[in-house]
Amino acid sequence: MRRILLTAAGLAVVAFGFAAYEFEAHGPQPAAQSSLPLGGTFHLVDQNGRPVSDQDLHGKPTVMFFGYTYCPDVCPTTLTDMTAWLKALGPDADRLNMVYVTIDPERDTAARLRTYLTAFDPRIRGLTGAPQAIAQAAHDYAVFYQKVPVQGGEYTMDHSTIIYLIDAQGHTTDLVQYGTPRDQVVASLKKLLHPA
Amino acid sequence: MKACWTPTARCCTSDRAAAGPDENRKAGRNSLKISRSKAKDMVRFSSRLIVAAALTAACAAPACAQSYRVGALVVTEPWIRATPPGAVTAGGYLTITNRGATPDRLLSVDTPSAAHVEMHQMSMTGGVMRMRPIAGGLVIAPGQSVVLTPSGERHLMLVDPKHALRPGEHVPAILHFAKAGSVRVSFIVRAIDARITPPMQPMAGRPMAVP
Repeated sequence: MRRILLTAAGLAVVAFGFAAYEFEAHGPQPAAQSSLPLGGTFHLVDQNGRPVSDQDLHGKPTVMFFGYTYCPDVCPTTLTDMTAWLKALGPDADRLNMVYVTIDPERDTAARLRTYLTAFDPRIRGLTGAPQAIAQAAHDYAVFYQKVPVQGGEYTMDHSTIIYLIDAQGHTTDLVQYGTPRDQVVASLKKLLHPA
Repeated sequence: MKACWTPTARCCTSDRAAAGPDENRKAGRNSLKISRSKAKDMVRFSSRLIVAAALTAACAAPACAQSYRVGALVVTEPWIRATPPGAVTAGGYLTITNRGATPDRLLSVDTPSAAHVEMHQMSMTGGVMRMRPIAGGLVIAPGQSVVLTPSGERHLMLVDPKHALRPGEHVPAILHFAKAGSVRVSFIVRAIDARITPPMQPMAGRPMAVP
């Protein structure tokens, strides 16, 4: 129950963030890049079993998505999008962290992520960790996720599909909605890489 | 020369009936047309290999839609998204058009290539994706088409594919309908980044012209 309440609060934050961002983007006086009250410290492991913290990502802007490998539709689509964005960015792509955090750490082990991610751009890092560590990271980014039991004792996940654009200092500066046209995302990524 | 991949799905014919002499004759005529065109090509290029390559490419192209008729229903272009290594689910897509006067329902899908197939409804609210099994089967209203498409409102989910599904591969399946009965179809596997419609475009219930 506590998690649901926290998540609901988190979603409200995201909604507020979006509203603030929309105002920022389309308001009469575009200001310098602002940051949203999202993110925090985390300690996870990548697909090779190496520890990764929020600090390790600093120094480069980061694109972060929360998904899971049992996902049949939205997550592989987002990973192919991420692959396409990296390709479109050309050499600039090497100056970016592209991170896929699982919200299903019980099934998405580092080994599973390693195998699965070979189908996508090798620069995409998969992060997993202890369920509690994932819950904390999801909470800090206001990511909603919830197990939904299906037949045979298995489950699927309801989850947020928002993509986080984080600057080199770890501030979340922009949010990308699922299904945003590729050109628009690449423009946002260029802005993230080359802030005015 | 190999014309297509499976006996149940003739490449590039517009319709293929589950049963019925008329439909089979039509398929035969189409095969004849292909054969004649092949013969011309062979003369033109003086090479069987070139023709074979061209035909294979034509069959693999997304424009080469496959249709299957069963009762008053037409099933068009069934396809599956290729899976990343180790994936335990795969998205399946198709269009079902009901030319009849009464509703029908897709009750289940069987394939030897996966443990089982689920039918899912998907919604996106406030950036949160929710996926639920479609209870009681997928309804196809009379005169309407139901389109299952990537990032759409509905999809099939193949659970535990027997092996990684690679682009160009064909996955045989049987669709079981409440009224129309069952029909064998062949899902083509398309690239992992294949998409045919923009994300989350509402497609259900939109009438669609069927050849």
